[in-house]
Amino acid sequence: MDTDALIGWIAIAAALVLLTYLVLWGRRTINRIARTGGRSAREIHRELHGGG
Amino acid sequence: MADRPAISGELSRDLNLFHITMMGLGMMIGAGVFVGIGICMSGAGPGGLLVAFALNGLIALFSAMSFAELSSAIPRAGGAYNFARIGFGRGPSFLTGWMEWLASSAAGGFYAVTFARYTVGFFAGLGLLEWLPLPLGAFEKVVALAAAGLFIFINYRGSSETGKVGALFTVGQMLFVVAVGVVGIAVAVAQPDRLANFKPFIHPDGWWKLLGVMGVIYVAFEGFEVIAQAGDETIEPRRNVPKAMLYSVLIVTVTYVAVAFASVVAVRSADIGGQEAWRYVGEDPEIGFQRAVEHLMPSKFFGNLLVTLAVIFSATSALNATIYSATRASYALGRDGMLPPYFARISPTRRTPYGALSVTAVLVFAVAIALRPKHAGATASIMFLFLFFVVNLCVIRIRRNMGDELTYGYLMPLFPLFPVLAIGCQVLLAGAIVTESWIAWAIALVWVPLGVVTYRAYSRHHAVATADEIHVLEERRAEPGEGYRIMVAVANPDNALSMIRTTYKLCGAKDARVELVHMVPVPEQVPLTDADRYMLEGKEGILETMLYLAPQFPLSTTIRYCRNIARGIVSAVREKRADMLILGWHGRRRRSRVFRIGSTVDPIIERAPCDVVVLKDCGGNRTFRRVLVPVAGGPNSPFALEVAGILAEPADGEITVLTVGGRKTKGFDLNEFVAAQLERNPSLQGRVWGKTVWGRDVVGTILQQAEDYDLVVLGCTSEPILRRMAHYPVPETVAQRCGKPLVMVKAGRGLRSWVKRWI
Repeated sequence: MDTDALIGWIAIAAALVLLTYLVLWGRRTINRIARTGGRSAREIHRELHGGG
Repeated sequence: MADRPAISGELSRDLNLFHITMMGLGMMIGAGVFVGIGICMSGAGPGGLLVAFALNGLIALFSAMSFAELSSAIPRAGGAYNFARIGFGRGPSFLTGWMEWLASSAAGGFYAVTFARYTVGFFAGLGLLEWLPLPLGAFEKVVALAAAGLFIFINYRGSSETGKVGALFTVGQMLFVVAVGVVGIAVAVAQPDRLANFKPFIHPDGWWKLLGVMGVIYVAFEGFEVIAQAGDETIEPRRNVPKAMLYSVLIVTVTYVAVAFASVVAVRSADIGGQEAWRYVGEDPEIGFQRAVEHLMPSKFFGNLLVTLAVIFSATSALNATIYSATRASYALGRDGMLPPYFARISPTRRTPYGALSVTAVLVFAVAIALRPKHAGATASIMFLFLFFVVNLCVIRIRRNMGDELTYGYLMPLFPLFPVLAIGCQVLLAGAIVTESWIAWAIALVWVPLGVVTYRAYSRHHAVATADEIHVLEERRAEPGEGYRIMVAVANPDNALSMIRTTYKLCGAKDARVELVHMVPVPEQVPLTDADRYMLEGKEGILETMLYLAPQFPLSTTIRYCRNIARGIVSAVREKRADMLILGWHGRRRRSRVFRIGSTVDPIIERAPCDVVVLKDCGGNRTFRRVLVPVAGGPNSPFALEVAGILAEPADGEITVLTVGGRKTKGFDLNEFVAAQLERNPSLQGRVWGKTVWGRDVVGTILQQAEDYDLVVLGCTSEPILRRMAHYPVPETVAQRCGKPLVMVKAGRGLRSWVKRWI
């Protein structure tokens, strides 16, 4: 496999994996926020990051 | 201007997650993917095609995350235009609406010409158009105009497909493209020799053309933003709207990559006389997808028929939606007074905005007549890139300024990494489009400056505050006249009393006309009809202030409701064209890493386009004989000294200009500063002294010095926002801790100031 193809397939796989991860992370966050009721950015941030 | 009701009705909420996800997918799977595959294959090679779709999907997701966050926090005000208005005010929101108008109109023209290209191509392939007296190219234009005209008429009639019916169409489109992808993968598994089509992986010219084609086909990822507009009709919008946006980008990207893969492996070199498959598909880029898919199907006719039907379905439904979207954008500008009243005209019988629709029709026709699909798509892409660029700025700005006030249903991770990445990528893609379509750039370079000129010449003089921004409850105007205008923001009687004496001095020194303004914040949950319940305190405060100021100065009063006090005050400053804003600060402050002084005062200092004077503990009958002005060479220091000169007792007041020696004041010459200010303001002669003290702790030293003075006057920090987020600036920290009467000032310096504060 030539270098272009290697770089290309890695880029495609990385883009799709990152995209899927961000969407699933977003889904989990949305469900979590919905369970506890919508709140301000700071409050959500604190909750998501264990009180930080 | 069209009359707008103060209270808007609620639509029934009957769209669920599936419906709105399909709505986004329906808009995205327009003609972009069908035209994009050929363009990308010819420009970037077979592997480049897949890379372009995968990376574009990721970049689109970054913007979708911004839209999702904003839509979850402001579900009723979906749309880039509204986000820009809330985030940046009127001028940028006008430009956003202006770009959205062309973006959607160009996309409409693009779908019309793509529809014509595929339909005419199909019938010409069957030999059914040989009787035509005009060339095929000209006939395509006629068909494109007819298609656009039909959907403009449908929009005029007001019949638009609902989310539920639209979802069915989209399912059909999705089934087709998914089927193409699945067949392609199955064929590649059964006949692995087809994978040889990926050699060369990238175009022989190299990777550099990839960005250009990515920019051109970006229009294929536009459409998720329309989900924001369905917030009013969606069940649990805070939860479902952001999910639908994220899902639609994920589904569309995976589908596009699969379809792109199928298009690469569809053609065998042996079937086309040994020619490289990717060159064959890219030979006629705009119908490259058709050339590929016909080889996947059992017969060429069947393949062509399927592709043509798919394009007809997807291009027409997207054409309908984009005309609707473009009309909405221009109607909103007309309704808010930013475009002439003609744009806000509503048909009395159809209840549709025929004014905005007619001008939109001209734009769509112009794009359809003048541009080939590639350039029409590139024009739409560049405008959407600009639009998403603004939304990514908005999400940063709104989270920073209003994060404590809004109720979020989704927050993106690692904020602000993804909006910043999206901005960077969008700049790159927009720039690279020039390599593929200089026409798109030429159009953008005419359209955007035209928008700026329109705003400067017309919109800003005619714009009206929208119901979401501000609403006048009671207004009393002074006799009309010119002169320096000072706006005083009054919160309640106590606050009014604490500001009166200082305000009196400032108004006297400037010989000003005075505008007293009170903002009544009404929570989103409270109907606007109940807004007057909240105005009693403000009314008393205004009466109190009027007792003192009305005999001396021309005075106007305004009481308004607003959703947010800071936004309301800034909006009032812009509308009344105040030269100076005076407001009080109680001095109490919640612990916050976001706000330096407070969630109301910070955004006002940031955004008010005039001089701002914030008074802390300056009430009663205090006299200021000894005034301290700490300076460090910042741009607000001269104004701080000017204000100190006004507030210090005229007979025996003395002003000390203090600088704390050390690293931060390197390059600042106190004597030179004082001399320059005395020359500029001779009334300060004999009253101003310079003083330098040495200390490692700048804040502590200033506070220690302040003990000997009656008043401290400070210029706000001029540090850029991004740097300020990392630490507490000196002036604001002094303001918080100082126990003496204190005045903070910011000199309004227009666009330059705005740019400097951000960068």
